[in-house]
Amino acid sequence: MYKLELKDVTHVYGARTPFERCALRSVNIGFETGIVTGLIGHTGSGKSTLVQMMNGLIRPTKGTVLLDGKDIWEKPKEIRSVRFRVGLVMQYPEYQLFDETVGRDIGFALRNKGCSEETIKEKVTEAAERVGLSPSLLSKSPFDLSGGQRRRAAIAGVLVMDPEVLVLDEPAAGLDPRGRAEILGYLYRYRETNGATVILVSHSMEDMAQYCDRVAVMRDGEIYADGTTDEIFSDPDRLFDAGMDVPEVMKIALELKKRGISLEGKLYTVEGMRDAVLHALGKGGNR
Amino acid sequence: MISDITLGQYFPGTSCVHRLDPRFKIILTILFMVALFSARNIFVYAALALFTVLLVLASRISLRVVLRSIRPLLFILIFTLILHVLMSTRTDGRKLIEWKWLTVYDMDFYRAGVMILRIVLLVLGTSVLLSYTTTPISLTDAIESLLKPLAAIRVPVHEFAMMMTIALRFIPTMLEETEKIMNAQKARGADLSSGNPFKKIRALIPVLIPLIVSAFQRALDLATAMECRCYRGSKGRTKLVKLRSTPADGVALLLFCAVLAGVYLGNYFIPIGISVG
Repeated sequence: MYKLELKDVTHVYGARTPFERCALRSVNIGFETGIVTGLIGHTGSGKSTLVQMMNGLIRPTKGTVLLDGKDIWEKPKEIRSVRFRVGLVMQYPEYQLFDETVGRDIGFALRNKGCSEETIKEKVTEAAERVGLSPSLLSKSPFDLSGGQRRRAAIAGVLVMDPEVLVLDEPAAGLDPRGRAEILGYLYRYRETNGATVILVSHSMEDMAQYCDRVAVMRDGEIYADGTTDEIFSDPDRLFDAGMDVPEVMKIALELKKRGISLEGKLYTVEGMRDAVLHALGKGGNR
Repeated sequence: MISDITLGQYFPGTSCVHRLDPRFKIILTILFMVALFSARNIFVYAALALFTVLLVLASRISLRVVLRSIRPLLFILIFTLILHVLMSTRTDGRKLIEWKWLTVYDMDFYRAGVMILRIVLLVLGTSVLLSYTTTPISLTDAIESLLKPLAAIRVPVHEFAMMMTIALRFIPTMLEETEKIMNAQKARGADLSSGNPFKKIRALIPVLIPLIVSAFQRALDLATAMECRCYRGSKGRTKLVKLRSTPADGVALLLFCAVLAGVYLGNYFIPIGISVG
């Protein structure tokens, strides 16, 4: 059984106005426990709509969303309980910070949940640690932090709920390469320690290749391709057809292939490429 | 959902009404209003009603949408009817009801009917001419252009127009931002919709603070961006999209003038019917 499953979901914005737009058409997708799934697609392909359905921010016009096999919209009044279980980090989450101190802001979700102050304090410290925020920052105003620190604080504000499913919409957008790797590393580790199901929306093929077990490509409100990372990157032409790209390192492999040199292995990651090249050379490649 | 609110009610299209110069449209609207309020007898009103219907048809906006603009008026229309029928002090026509201080004549109904027709035509005509077929931005441009003579007496027309444009431009942006922040807080379990009114207002704090902070940030960024491009008010400034009038605008103006003249001629030459208003 899937941890989270979207069955035949359709969503129409601005129904019955001249601005009517169908964002999703009969999408079927399921997410298994503990798997990191990458969701990729152009702007307007329906990624954000799909992601907001997962924790009940958007109710599908048609279709059902199942969490542990139960329809999350069975009792619309209790939708909030779903949001504590499916943590969603929106795009540019640093804009959601509002409280007097970083610590209080991270604890916002737990106060909404009705936890005791001691539990909140304990969990806030733990969540800050998970994203590499030093405890001394917790008593500062969120508006005094740097951009990168604010991003981490905002992500900690979702991790603090210990969500079973973690949905991330471009968590590393606008960060420098080092900040990117750090943030994604922390999130990857959260999956390792909590066994959480992770859904990662990103524009970056490198992120997909490095962090995801499975990749789903969206196009015009539909799932265009869906498979393990290996399967998706073994057919680069299919990606090019959808207007997508492949990781930079893989382009080298494709150019080599054009020149008659075939490599074997995970050519979409730097490590995989390195191994493949060494292997080919070791086997007596004479170029 | 916030995104369902249609802003400024503009409906995109390419009809002849859409393509008119917005400056002319403002003038046409004024002429239309004058004609509507000058009409003195029922035949002239009938002709104006026909003209308004033709105007709606020419704009190619679906009748359902146009009629929907009347719905918020319902209360005012009923109020008008009651006021005219029950409170009128005129004593002409046939007496229908007489009860204590209350006397109702059939002429009261007639006057109420004319008044209601006038209000309905007014809303239909102006919304088709302006709000449904003109973008708020081109409307501001037109107002700036029409008010330009006032600049001679040092009224900062351009600055007002710029402020209006910026405000209009950022309404959708702010709405989008509000929705995003609301969603972000809801994702952290914020309860924005239940509880007593006092609780609801308190629940909005996590939405309002980030919204205000980002509005200030945006304003500062915009000011910097404008200064970087050497903006310094109206002095020596030209427009990228110049409002251009075409012969069609002249024709429309003539048509509306003819309608206005027709109304006065009608008032004068058709003495049948009872004067209203």
